[in-house]
Amino acid sequence: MFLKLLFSAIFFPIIVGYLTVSIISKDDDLYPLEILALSYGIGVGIISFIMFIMGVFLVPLKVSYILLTCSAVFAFPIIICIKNKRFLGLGIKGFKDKVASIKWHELLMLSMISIRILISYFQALIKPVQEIDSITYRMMEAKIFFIEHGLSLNQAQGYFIGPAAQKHYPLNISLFSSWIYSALGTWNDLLVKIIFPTFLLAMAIIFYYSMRRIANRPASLFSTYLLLTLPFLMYHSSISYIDAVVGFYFFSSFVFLLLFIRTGKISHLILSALLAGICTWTKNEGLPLILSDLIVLFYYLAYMNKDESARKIRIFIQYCAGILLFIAPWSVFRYIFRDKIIVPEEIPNFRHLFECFYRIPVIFEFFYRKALLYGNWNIAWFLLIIVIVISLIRKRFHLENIFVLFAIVFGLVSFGSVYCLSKNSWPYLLDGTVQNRNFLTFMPLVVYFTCISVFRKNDNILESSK
Amino acid sequence: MKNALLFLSILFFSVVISFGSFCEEVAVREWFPYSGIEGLSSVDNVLTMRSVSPIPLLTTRDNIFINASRLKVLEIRLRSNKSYMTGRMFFRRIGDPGFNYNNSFDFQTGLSNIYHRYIIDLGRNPNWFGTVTQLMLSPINDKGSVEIASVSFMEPNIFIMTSVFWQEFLAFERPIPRTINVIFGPKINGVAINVYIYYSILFLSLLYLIFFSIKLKNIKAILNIIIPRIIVICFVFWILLDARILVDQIRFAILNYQIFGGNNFEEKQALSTFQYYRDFYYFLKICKQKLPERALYSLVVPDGYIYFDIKARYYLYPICEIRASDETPDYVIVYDPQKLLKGKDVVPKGYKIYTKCNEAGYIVKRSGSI
Repeated sequence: MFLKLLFSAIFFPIIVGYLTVSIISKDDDLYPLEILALSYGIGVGIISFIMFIMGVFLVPLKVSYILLTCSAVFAFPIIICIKNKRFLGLGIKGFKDKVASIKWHELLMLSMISIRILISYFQALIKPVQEIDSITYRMMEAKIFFIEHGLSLNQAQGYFIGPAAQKHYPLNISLFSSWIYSALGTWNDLLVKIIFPTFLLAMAIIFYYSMRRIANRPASLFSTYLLLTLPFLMYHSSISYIDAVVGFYFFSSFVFLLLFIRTGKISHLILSALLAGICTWTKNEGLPLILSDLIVLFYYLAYMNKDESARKIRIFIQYCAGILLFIAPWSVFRYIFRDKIIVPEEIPNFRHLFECFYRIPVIFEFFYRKALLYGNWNIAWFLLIIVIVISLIRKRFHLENIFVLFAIVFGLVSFGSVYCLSKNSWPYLLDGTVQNRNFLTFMPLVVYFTCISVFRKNDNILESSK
Repeated sequence: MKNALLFLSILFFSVVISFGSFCEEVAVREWFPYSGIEGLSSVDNVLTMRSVSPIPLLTTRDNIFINASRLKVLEIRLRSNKSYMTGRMFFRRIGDPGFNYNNSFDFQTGLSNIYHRYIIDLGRNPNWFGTVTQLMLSPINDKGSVEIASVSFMEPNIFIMTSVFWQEFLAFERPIPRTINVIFGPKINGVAINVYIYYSILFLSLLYLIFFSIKLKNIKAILNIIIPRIIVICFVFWILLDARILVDQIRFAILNYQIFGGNNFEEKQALSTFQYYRDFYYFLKICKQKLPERALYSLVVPDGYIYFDIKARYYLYPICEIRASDETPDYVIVYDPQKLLKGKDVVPKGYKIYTKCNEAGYIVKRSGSI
């Protein structure tokens, strides 16, 4: 019974996400599994967002109310979809042929990928939440939301939103976890962890198909296998913390932005905007990350797109609106309750800027040690450097590769600047608390860059000697 | 032919040297229980015992006299019914006032119920020199049964050191419980395995470069040939390192299965709270039953029990811990399994005993003004 409820709870965001993707995308250039993976990510974000709005308006966060609100929100779009027959195909046409054509080495890679996913599910579901940060912040908030059937805006008890210091962090995963509790009808912090390996599975699927558009099937499978060999990503996919989830949203938003640049289809841009918006709605660290999305889009529209200026501006505004849809209500909420949500960060003054310069070499050293030696990233960073050097020697830099590399460097610089300028974050760099987790948010892009540089059709490095 | 002879000679002398290496065994009869050990007995030169504490300790007499400057490798053969524990050996040299953590080294045990041979390079501890007169051994760090077949000190030689490096490379590196920031990867001689991989890749790339530079004269042709090879070498190392890490992931899964598998949700909660003080969870459960819903409490635990506070807040909600220092709680929950609390912490002023939950703790209730 419990398992049925759990699967229903996990299936619900997929339905919500599927409806959203169907509304946005009328093309059938998305693969069925890719639609499901996207649906899960988007569905989680939308459900938690709806729950947040309900909580703000003091609507009880009970299953019946949530279902009712979601039905109300999606009623009109569903009618439009039915009328225009816009539901995306999830058919298994040709599936048999694809299975029959699988070679033994592809099967081997597929089994390696499956083993990783199974290990992740096993590790997540064998034990309840026990990591300090999880029980202090996200899972504590989730329990409070579940028991209070709301956002716990009764600040008299000192439990406004949650009891801990990180009240200025967005509530995506906390609210979605409380949805799982509500659907189960009980607080069970073991089963709720199914959320996290499912994100890993969704990430693997989206990674595979984003590679598949560029490379052949064995190369795409091998690339996906490489992604799942990152030990730290694997570990985070089995614990109830949100850096890997931010990584999922950022990676997905970026590859759909690249897809928009490649195909010019607005639906890809909207999907990217939604995913970027949910990225910021998952963790504050999402905000500096998605700035690279905005910069890449701006560059593309300003220098590469030959459309009219008005259309370009409209596209850019659409993208920003997609992001703001998720982050604006939360920002307004934070502003209204700013005295209760402690935002401890100090904005550095001009003098402080110069005082911080001594930190730069230290930041470089820590980044180097974590990336190349002790950060559990296999040899991903080393191979990234090798691939960059090789690309420079060959003088072949595909534009997409440059965009991905820019996003990686931008991520590094963003987090480096925070450590450099912020009084609060500096100790966390020195004691090794968060830096590796920051890397986790853009590590899928590091592997992606390496793989598209090596395996790209028509410019495959491995075949260059032929 | 010349090279083969040279190799065989080196191998022969290495074997001769290693067989001639001095070895000193600490006999089974030398070990005595110090604390946390029950049922210590010796059968067929195998020491068997039961650990009843997280830090079971065996000790020798203060007269064993090990030449630490010469014997720099320790070999322990033991088995336990617990997988992947951390053991620790303390040593005391002539003149040392007692045992301390600086004069110790740890080792990781393997899968349960199988005899394993653990070889430890003592030379890495800068305090391992002079004459060691006494040892103290904690074979595992949990409750369970242990059998020790031998404890020997040896002179290092090429084979033993290779075993040390191999064992270090295969050591089980798991996430530190309850933290989410780092997992230590495989190491050799205390250095991340990545360093050796990078050097290997650079060395092989250089060999390719030299080889094809001699063979081909055109730089473009050379690059076209060696670039794919370098990438393949990188992928091969990536896969090899991954295979090594996969072993740890499987070990971690086995360990988690051994700890949590077959338990119901509540037992899992207790186990995930503390394996040693698992009664803390049941203590909190009793507190939840005894305290009125939405009561305000504060928790008193001995210094350093940080995780207890977080877990109490997590499990007891909607009974709320006071979050502002100027608030006065209705109830104070006192948890002190080791009886470390003293003075006003035991029963705070203005409070009286409300209920005794179990041996480890109790609740006090505010009585009038404070």
